[in-house]
Amino acid sequence: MIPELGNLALTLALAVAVVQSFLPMLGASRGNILWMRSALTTSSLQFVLIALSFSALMRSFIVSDFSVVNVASNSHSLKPLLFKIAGTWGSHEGSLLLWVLILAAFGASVTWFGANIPDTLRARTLSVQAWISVGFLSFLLLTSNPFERVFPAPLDGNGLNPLLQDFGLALHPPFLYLGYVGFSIVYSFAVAALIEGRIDPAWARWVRPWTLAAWVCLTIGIALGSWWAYYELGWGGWWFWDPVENVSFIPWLVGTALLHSAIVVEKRGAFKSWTVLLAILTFAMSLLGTFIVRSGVLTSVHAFATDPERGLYILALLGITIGGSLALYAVRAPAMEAGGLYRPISRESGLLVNNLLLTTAAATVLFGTLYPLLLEAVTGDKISVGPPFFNASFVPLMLPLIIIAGVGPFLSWKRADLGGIVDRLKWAAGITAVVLLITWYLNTDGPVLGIVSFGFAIWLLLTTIQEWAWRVKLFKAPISESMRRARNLPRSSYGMALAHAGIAIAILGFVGSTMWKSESVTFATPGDQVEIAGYELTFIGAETVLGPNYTSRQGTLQVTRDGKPVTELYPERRNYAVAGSSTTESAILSTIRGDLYTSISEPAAESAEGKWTLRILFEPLVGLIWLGAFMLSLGGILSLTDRRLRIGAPTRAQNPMPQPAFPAE
Amino acid sequence: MIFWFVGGVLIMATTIILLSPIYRARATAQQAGLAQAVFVDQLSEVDRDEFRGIISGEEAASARIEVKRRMLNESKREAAQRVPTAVTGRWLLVALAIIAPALGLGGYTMLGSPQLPSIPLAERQAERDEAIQVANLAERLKNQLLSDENSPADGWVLLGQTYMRMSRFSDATWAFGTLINRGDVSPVFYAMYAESMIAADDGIVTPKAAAALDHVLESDPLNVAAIYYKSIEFDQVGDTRAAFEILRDRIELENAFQPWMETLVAHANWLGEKLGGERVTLPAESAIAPGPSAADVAAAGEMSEEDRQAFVRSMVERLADQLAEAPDDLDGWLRLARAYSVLGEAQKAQNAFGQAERLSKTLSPDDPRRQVIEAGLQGN
Repeated sequence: MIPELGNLALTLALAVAVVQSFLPMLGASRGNILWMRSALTTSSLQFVLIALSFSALMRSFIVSDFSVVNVASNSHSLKPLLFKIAGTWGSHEGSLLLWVLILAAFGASVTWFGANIPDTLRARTLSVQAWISVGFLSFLLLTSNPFERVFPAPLDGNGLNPLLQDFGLALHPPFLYLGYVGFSIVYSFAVAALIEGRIDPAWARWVRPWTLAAWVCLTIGIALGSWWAYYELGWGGWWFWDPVENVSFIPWLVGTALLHSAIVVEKRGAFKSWTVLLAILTFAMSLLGTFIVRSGVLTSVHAFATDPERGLYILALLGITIGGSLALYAVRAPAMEAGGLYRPISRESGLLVNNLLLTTAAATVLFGTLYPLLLEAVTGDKISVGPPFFNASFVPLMLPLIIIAGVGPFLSWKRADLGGIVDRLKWAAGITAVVLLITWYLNTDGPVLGIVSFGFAIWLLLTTIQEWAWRVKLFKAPISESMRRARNLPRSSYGMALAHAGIAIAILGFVGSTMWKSESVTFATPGDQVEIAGYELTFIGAETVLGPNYTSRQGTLQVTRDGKPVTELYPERRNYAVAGSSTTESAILSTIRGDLYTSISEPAAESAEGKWTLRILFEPLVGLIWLGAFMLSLGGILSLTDRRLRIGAPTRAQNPMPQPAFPAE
Repeated sequence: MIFWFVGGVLIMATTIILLSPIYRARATAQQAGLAQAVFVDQLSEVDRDEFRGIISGEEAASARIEVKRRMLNESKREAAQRVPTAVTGRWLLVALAIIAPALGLGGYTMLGSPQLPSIPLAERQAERDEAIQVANLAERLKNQLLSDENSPADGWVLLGQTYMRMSRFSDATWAFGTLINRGDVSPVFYAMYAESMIAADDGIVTPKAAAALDHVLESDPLNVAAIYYKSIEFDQVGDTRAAFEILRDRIELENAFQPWMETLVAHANWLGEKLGGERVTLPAESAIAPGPSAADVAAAGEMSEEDRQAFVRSMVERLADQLAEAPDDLDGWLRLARAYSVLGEAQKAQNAFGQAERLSKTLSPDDPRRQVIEAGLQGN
């Protein structure tokens, strides 16, 4: 009965979403208050129904109800409870149900927390949100119903891909989806604003917190995915420029641009049209990500749905959503009222350049991701665009961005005094130059981009710290005055500082772990010793260990440094009999200096009985990547808790002569 | 029943909630004042920033002017705007509160299977015990066959069929393969061998399975199972026409209805649809159709899930109709009762057992069917 109730709740949710998709919109154009307000009820109801449906599916997973096809093909009675629960969103159908659940949750939260949005804007926003709901609910019900039944029910399930049976990955999709789908609400606000024909002050005020919330989740989602790849895939890599990674990174880049341009809308009333466009593009890129992962146009670790019918449905949805909103934008945006004016050297300009660089970078990644697909579709040739392309194109685009991110916070709104800032930053520039030279001296044959990136990351870190010191007048004013200022600084300032410093620290991790990595692959027999980065590792042996639903071959490695014992590492190779596949569980010794990373595989060949393949790496500074990602997310959350409504304070022109000013759009 | 009760509550609740805005809506539109509120907030923020020393007095003054300018523009715009005052259009909300749940229910009846209960694993101990028992028996049979040099062919067939029922298709292939390697090459075994290979490859007819099928047809050109899978093979390599024709030709060879025809005709017509509406009909005698035979059920195993559901259901319905016309068929009622219990329709199963009990009065007291009926009536 429970799965059937879940199915019924889902069809009811679709019907409610249909009502929500036109009634409030109609009400807004006719000035009918009742029809507009109906959106408040329908959005909450839709959420409750989908939540009911999701709980029904989760219950089926928890009690192993194999009469539900989705459970039978994605779960197994022997699986630990946590992964039974995670199995709810481990499959194509379940993950889409999670997708629409989050979509409905964002819609409902506009109702719950949006009392201060004008009725017409809220009604239109919720209608647009319901269009997306209708599209995805019908997709779910017609092509991927999670409540399809099988009778007679099989006695046990087919298990989940053991690679996915992992804590990091259990949490990865929900966060990623919170990010992807969170951008939907910004998109809905943008489309509603275009339909309304003006950017309401409430819109400007709302777009940033929503963007920020989605962006934080996406950041966490991407970081979790990369962390998972690092310790689970056994290669010691944390980013592969794999299409599935790229499609989560593209919305992040555009979303970051949106985040910054929304500040300008909020504070200065400028960049309105540009922000609307970014809002549309961010969600468009999220949908594209969903399409690429869900349609199975690529086959990689992540792409687990391969069905052309589904792909075509999402492609059509994608076409309508992106094409429709961009067409609307083309028609309505020129009529949008222009905002505040600003000069070429101003914070606005800095943010504009930042936006352009971020979107160009996103376009580059998009090109590198889609080009092989298009080429294969047109000519049938299969090529792969890998790290060399991205390192040569993406990284150089990021470098000027890092410089500007360092300078930007010093710029004041409307017009800024560049000379004063350059003067103020001379120490940071000097130290950066020294670090650059030292890095170059240590790595004369190292890659130029790596050395430059390292120096620029130091620059961003120094300028971020200096910006904070400047704000609180550290050492310029009595210490008590500085303390008072530090306490009074808005949380969003701390959020920004933390996020910028996070970027700098993550870059140090990226560069360090790539440029100074040492690696050793050996066929070891017990007693063998490997030396790497000052550590000596002795292979003691391997034994078989039983897990809940796998057997594991666990190696023991004794780690010493200068003859003194440090620790023992136990890398594993797990074999899942039911799924008929194996996973690697690496063992990692994390230190401030870097990670000692070990993984083990079965004896290479039958002739090499007793010999194990050991992969041992030393990755300097790699931990900084996740520390940086953590700081980024924390910075976002900190900004989010700062609910102050800010307005940029323009400085009056020093020169009374009229100066040509650039219009905002 | 419980499902429709709970489902009904859900549908009713949806209707009531959809109607709720009518009671709550007040005519006060929140249009006006909200934008101004944002600006007022912004002004006080400027004051606070100035007090905290984040911006200078000069910057604050300039910011205030900018905000006030926006306030002025906004109030001009608001004055020009029409603000709705009356609550109208209740009729549309009422209509939608009825139509939407009805649509949801309609969608559900197309997609759902209301009669299927949820079957948590914990409630299936008996089934699991049985499965374990079967697995143990199969293991014993296998060891016995392996240890006996002159093991009987029947034993290997039984083992293969048991593995098939347990969905251990590769093991079934091994069992049938062992039999064939010994030189017992009855075409029937070859057909089973081919079937197990196809099942192991998720329904794909691999070249190896195709070779086995050809081998069957060489010595027994009329073998139905081989023809059925041959048709699937043709369809998989893209030759739908040949797939259709091989089925049609085989069906047309018969003058009278055969139990296996239903499946072949259904499949041929499915293929015919793809070819633009060509059809195959059952021989006229098909009116007296018997219940599902083992071959039908085996063939049903190859269908898609919806097809199989529909197939099983149609078989059961046909049996029920037949019994309604000729109600004195004790074994028929027992078959129907069993089918209903498998489908989870307890009430209908009870009724069928009741009919069987009526007929069982004439049976001898030690007839095993009496016990079956008694157990069935008690709901086991």
